Amino acid sequence: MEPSSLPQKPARPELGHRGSVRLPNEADAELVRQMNGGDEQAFAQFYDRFAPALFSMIYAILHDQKESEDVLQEAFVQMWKRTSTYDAKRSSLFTWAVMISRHKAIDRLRSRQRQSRLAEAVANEPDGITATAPAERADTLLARNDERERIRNALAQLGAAQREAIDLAFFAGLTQTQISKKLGAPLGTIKARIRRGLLTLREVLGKVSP
Amino acid sequence: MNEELEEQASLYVLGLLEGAEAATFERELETNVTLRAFVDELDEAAALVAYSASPRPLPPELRARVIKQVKSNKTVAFPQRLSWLPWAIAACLAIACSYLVAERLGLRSHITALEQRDFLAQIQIASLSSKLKNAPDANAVVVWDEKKQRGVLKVTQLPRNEADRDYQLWLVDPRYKNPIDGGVFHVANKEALSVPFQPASPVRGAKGFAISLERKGGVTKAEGPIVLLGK
Repeated sequence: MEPSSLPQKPARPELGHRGSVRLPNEADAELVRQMNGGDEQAFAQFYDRFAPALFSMIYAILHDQKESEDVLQEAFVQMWKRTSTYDAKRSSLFTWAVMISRHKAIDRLRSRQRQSRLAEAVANEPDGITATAPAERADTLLARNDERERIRNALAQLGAAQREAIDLAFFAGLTQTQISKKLGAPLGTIKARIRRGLLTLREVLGKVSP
Repeated sequence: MNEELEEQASLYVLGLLEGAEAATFERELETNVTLRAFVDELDEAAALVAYSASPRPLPPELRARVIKQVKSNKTVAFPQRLSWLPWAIAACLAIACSYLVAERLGLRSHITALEQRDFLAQIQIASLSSKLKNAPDANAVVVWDEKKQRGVLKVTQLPRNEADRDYQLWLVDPRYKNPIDGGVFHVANKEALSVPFQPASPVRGAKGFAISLERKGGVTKAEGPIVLLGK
């Protein structure tokens, strides 16, 4: 099936003074209203906007192509069923989609970890874009890469220790205790790093916002 | 906002608060508007970490798969103007649950009464549920005394049977190839009916009970449809 509309740059929340996030996002709210009314075209648009970024995130968590596809599918179906839970006053649609998708991916990861340790396989898994990448409009790709680059620059401004702790929580789904053990730092230190890291990110993202 | 609360909020958005700690924080979140706004902002910041993942090509065929599944799930999406519908369904389910609980309690008290009346040690009690689309609420309880080789069947909500038909009880004993005939009975109305029974052959370690609809007078081997089944 062909996309119903051209892929758009993933929605970014607007950031106001001193890094505070300005909400709601009317375009998001309208898209959700349409989906809530059972509009499949709106859902296709929603998929085209967010699926690429969500898939990359899910893959970064699971490091498994098939599982990542399954989780992305489950996440989108859940979002379709639960559009009524989205509150545009509280978050951007992207944030809502990230939270649901990440939760599903982490659940899958923990379930898998319970069955077996795949640390080696994860470490050996090749990363990056493969030759089978689907064709994408150059301007969309550039816009997305530009967006990603901005966020990466923002993340680069975090201290290495803060970044490490946040990454282990966000992508590896580790608990506070596990992060503490893995990084060999006291629990209190880990909590403080995460707090400072997120606060910094919140501020820095405000400054780099277009 | 103090540092401790900021720290908890940071941990919360990354899913690092667990158990009682998470519950306490969520209670605070319900009433503290400032904290709610702060958590929402941290959510936005945390979500953007997703962009730091290495780009991974999205398989083109996945789109069609997702949309196909969504189409098959379309009935579960409620238009906003019908946003009361899920609540109405939930209310109906709650009422139905209450009814079933009451029914179960009634049944349980009946079983208790039967148990108390019977002083024999080898009592087996089975609950049989409906296999009938037109009578899903039909059910039965079998109280079976293996030692005395006799039991009592209590049936409720079973549809009235035609004059040329009878309901027939079967006891499943793995030692036999076919279920053992437990006797026939007739249902004249949907009111509860108690039927004492004795199987046609000795039964040891009954694994289940079934009721089928058979020819008038019953058959030696079940031929008709199973209407109630349980163990």
